[in-house]
Amino acid sequence: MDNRTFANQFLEPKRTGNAVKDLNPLSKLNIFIVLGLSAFFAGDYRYGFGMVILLFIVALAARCMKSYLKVYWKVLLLFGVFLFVIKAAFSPGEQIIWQKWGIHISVESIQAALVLTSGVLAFCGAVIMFVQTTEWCDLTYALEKNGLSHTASFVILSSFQTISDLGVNAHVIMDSQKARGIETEGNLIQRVKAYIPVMGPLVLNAISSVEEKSIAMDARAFSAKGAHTYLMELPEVKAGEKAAVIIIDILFVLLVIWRIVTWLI
Amino acid sequence: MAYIELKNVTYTYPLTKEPAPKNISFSFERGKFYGIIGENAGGKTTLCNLLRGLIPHFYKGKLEGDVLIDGEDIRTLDMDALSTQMGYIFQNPFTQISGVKKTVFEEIAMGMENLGVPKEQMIKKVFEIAELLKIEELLQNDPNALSGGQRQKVAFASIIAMDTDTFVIDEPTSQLDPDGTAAIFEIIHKLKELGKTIILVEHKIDLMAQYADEILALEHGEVIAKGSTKEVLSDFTILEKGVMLPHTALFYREFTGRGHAMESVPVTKTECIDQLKSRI
Repeated sequence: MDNRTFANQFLEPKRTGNAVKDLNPLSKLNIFIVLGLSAFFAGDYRYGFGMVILLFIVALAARCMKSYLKVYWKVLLLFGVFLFVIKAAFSPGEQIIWQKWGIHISVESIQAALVLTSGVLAFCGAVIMFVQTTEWCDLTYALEKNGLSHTASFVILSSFQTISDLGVNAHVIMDSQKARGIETEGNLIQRVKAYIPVMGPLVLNAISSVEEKSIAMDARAFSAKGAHTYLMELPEVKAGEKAAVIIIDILFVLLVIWRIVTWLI
Repeated sequence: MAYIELKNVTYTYPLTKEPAPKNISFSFERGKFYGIIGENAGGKTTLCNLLRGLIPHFYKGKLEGDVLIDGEDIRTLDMDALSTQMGYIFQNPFTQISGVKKTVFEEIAMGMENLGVPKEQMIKKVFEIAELLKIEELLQNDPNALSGGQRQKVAFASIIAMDTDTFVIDEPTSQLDPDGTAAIFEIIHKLKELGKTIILVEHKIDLMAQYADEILALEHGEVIAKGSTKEVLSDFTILEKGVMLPHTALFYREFTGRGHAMESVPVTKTECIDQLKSRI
């Protein structure tokens, strides 16, 4: 794309042409959080796993299945399998299927494990989906438009950038260690040994760069008084989108009320 | 009245005993190009921080004497207001990139966003600056993935896009090749022609000799020479204090040392060539 066409994109509100990605970041945040939480309140693993499947369908629609799966399988292994095994092995239950060495696997414990696992997987999936379909700058723009201070928005954005910078810097230091003949690969102990001396310069660099970065921001008139303008803007939230968010929120509130009532009865 | 005035300024950083600038007095006028030279750790960057108000607002420590901008004491000046009238480009290009913008285009526009410049004007300005700095091919790139030299140019572009009255520039060419360095000096010269005040710290003394109106030379935080560029850079005594002189001045010393006469100490190539031509 030539520079002029690229710049002309800024003259129009930002759109990707994808219905999921083009939702307002705050609408998306609201919808995904509510969908994720609803899996816990439903208290039924079929609903939870249904939500997991729904999120896969959303990933297809948002054309981010590959990147979604890349993160999601780790959650699946780390939380899903681990939580299921622990909960199924140690939760109390009457109808014992198998027991040995203090482990009691029962029909009830498997059911409880499925409910918990499906809830966690649905919630994590919703959070990952939000991250995969939303750019942080869009989120902070939307937050700023809704009253968040410019400074807070910058802190959010730069915190995420600092995390990725730390990763890059750690690699740079490790590579230079490797170039000096220091063993940085191998078993876990070797890797830990290689990482310990890296931490000092990494953390000190990060601290000193914060100071310079704040001066750099001051040089960019970051705290200048008066209204700021935006090169990139998001479209106004459509009435249909607002209505959808309200309906989903109402349904969620009803679900929570229903859940509380059933607990009380 | 002087635009910026330093009156017996001494400053000591927190947790240090030795002052960085010691008893400095100097006046800066509007629209002039000032060069600050001297050996490393001579107090040049600290002086920039003083002029830009980072001392005492950001760096605490002990400040003695007065720094006056348009007659107003820097201690009472509003830093936010100062940032809109005085652009500051500092040495390290890696921390001058905001880290929150996805493209160089947005990075350059960031300062203008903060100043409330309308969008169409911002876009126009970004193109102008990119053309001036010859970084058009970088506009769509990720600023966090640029090389040191490219970052330096982008940081420079981001500040000059803000169109402030004064630019305090601390070694803007440290990561650049000779062509990039020459381009930066050309731009600084253009800014001066537009009436901007330039305060530049640089080691590239030949270029400084070519463009600066006045020079302030520092050694261990003290002023060892000040005045017009010609006057300061013709003074061979500063060589002994670790300050480099232009090659043309060194040529003069060698040439006259061998018994050849020259009219005066040439500080620029043009001056040197003219003098040599007149001998033919």
